[in-house]
Amino acid sequence: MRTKPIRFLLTGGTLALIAFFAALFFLPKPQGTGLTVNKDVPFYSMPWNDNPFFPGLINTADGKMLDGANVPSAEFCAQCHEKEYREWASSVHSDTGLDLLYDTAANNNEVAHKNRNGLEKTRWCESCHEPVNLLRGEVNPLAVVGPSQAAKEGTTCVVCHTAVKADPLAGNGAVTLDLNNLNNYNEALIMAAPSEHARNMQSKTHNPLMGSSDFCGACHTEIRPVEINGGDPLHLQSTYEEWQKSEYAEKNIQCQDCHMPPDPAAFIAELNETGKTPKRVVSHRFVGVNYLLTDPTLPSNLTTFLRGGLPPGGISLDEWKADLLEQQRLTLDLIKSAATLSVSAPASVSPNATANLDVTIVNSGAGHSLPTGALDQRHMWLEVKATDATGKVIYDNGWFDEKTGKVDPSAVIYIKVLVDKNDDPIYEHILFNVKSYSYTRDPIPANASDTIPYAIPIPADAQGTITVQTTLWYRLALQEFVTYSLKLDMILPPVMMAQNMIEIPAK
Amino acid sequence: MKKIWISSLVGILTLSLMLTACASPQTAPTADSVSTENAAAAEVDLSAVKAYAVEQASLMKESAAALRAGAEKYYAAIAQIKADHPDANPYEYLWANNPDAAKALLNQMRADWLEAHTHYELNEGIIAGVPTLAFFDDWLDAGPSAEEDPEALEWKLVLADDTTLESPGNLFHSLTEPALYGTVDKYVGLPVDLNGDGSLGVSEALPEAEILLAATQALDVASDQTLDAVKAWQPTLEDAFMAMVTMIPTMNEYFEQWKLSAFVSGGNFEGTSFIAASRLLDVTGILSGLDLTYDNIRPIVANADASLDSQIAAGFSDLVKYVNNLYDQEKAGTIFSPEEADSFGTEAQNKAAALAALVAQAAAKANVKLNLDAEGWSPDAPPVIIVVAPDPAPIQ
Repeated sequence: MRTKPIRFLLTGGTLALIAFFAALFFLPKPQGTGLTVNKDVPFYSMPWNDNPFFPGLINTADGKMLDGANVPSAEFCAQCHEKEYREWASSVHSDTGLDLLYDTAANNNEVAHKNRNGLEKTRWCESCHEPVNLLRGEVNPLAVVGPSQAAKEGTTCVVCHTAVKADPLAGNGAVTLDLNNLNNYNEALIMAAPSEHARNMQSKTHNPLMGSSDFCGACHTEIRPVEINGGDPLHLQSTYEEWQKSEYAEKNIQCQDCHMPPDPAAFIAELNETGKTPKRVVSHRFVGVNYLLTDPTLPSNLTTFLRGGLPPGGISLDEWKADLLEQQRLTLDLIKSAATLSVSAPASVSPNATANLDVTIVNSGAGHSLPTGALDQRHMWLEVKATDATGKVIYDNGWFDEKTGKVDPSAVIYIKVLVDKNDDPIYEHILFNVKSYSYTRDPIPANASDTIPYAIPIPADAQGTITVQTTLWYRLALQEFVTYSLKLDMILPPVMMAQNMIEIPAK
Repeated sequence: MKKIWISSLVGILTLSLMLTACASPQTAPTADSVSTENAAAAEVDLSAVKAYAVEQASLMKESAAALRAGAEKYYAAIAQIKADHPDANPYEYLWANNPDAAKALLNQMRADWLEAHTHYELNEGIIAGVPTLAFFDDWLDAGPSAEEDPEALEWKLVLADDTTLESPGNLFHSLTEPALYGTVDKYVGLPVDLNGDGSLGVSEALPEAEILLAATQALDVASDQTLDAVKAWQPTLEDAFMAMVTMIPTMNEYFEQWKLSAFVSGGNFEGTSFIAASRLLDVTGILSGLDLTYDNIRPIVANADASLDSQIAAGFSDLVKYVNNLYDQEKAGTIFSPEEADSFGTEAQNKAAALAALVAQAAAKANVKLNLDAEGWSPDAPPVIIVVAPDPAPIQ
């Protein structure tokens, strides 16, 4: 009897299919690419507990370390998402690790606790500033992991786009990333299943966490753990809580609404004008207040130096400078949209008398306090300057000396004063050594105001109408930090947040 | 019927192969995934590493002694002039009356310094990387002064005029190099036109005799003590791995110093050290000592994981070639820009980080415990060097 070929094929095919499904059932599921500490990553120091990332609170979904080779870099993402990549590259988020100010501050802290696990303690900082670095085991006394492009990219794409959980009240980078299950991500896999890619990358429609303040809060809340320097936990930054207590939170206006539109100042203007939240259009510039790292006009290659190196791959120097210039414009506009100034003054004033003024600062555009963030460095102050009709300055409180970088010590200033165990002030952001802190003046909550009285003595020889110019200044860091920590021969200039001018006629 | 089974078998095998190919990605090799029993049993002979370290330390000591002798001659000459012509500036007098002898002596001292420094650099990978020897790296080559770091290495230098310098920094780059090359004003006796081009350029100066004498005597003493320590050193496998894991990833520091040195920054140079020898010499020196060290422990690593051993050997070869190539170009006259120096530094650091990680993996696979908190050796009391002034004598 002759067997027909069709029977061979049918029987063979059926058996093959059975074998296929059996194999699918019995084959091990993909395990992910995570590495086990002190097994795959040897000689890793964990002085406090079994959590390799502590005292940082960032984590991976499987609790394992990242294999650097399997972490897609921003340059990889840029192959398809060039616009987003360019926006991010000029933002401060692309520079959270290499930023010279951060890098120097981290080093200051590490050195301050030399021989006291200083380096391991910086995991607290790295949790937000160099998350990939930390998650792959690079923050260790011995170099036990190889280089990784993504590790140098600060808050790189996958840090946000693989986040599955966040604890904004715990802060210190309390985000969980599901990065180890990407399993050798490559272009072919993405192109073969774009919707799977969107799901993997937590696009907002798949994971609302990406669009909420809760996510940002995980890093914009900073609490020094007791393991750093004993004592009680020290609440150092509370931007998230400031927002949470504000009307912005009540109105469901999230961080992303103000900081991620293409033009944040325009967004705030429309919000204030209409009272309605404009439709969200997302830009990856993450506009904030860092007017220094976004300034491409600094002399002698200083921008590159401050940002810790040349622009990320795929962007020419000219393109990068143009992007930075736009970033700085948006930044300065946003700073100017945060506050308004008003002055109440007498109807007239005579020589040899005192003009009593009330200057009111209104936090009219920020969904958190003013100022906010690392307030031992970032500060704002008022300058009140009066001139007579001849232009002669008769009063100047809150001056800024452009030659020394000093601010009038009698100025009304909003800054946090840190002190060490000897009650000596800490100017160089050595948070590891802080014993306590105090505010020279409390930051102004969202939609609140602060009124400061001034008594301007009018000299006997003052001529005619008195002009009073009131300026609210903002500065990113203390001059002491620039001079003694960065060792830069530069004066860090302030930028203007708001200005008001009134005239008081002579009696 | 037989054909049916053949067809089925072919189908199953094909699908199985496809499934295998599509299966989960390979997990990274683990440190304990390879048996370490053989590794533990393997013998390692580090006598060649020790012989190399002793040879380099001996050669450094010889050059440091020659430098000291030169500085003593120089000091004696200045002292003679002070005795004979108390109203004259002794350096001006020396330069006016014996310029050729002064120049020859200075050139010889600089040559001796370079020789001593080169032999140290060839040993630095081992000395700085081994915890029981690292103290000497701080003292000789790397430690900051108390002015730069309040926690600087404690030691005292008592000059012939009874001035005491407390923790004045390391001997090569904080003291002897600035004294010999005139990069620190207070260490300059007299700026002079050494090259006769009619102008006073960088490093054209006669040294101030007190500091030069003190610094070179201290360098001689420290070189002697280093040699003794290296001779007494019993190298262990832990030492060898520790030296590699701690010293390989230091490339970026050296490249940064190179970028800021006169070799790259040229006329914009504002530093006080790394003017006599390029920092690339340090890098090549460090790597050559470590490369030799690895050659001597290769059997251990190969026993634990032959593939890892090949990767490490290739990594060393690649890094050494990369740095040597840069150094060769520089010696041939190429002056790199600071941006190029940055870019080279980044690439070297990437190569070094990858290599150091492989070495750490190898140590784990070979069951070698690297103690992160290993206490380095330091003397019972901070060193005190009291300078002995030679009698005055005319320059020859």
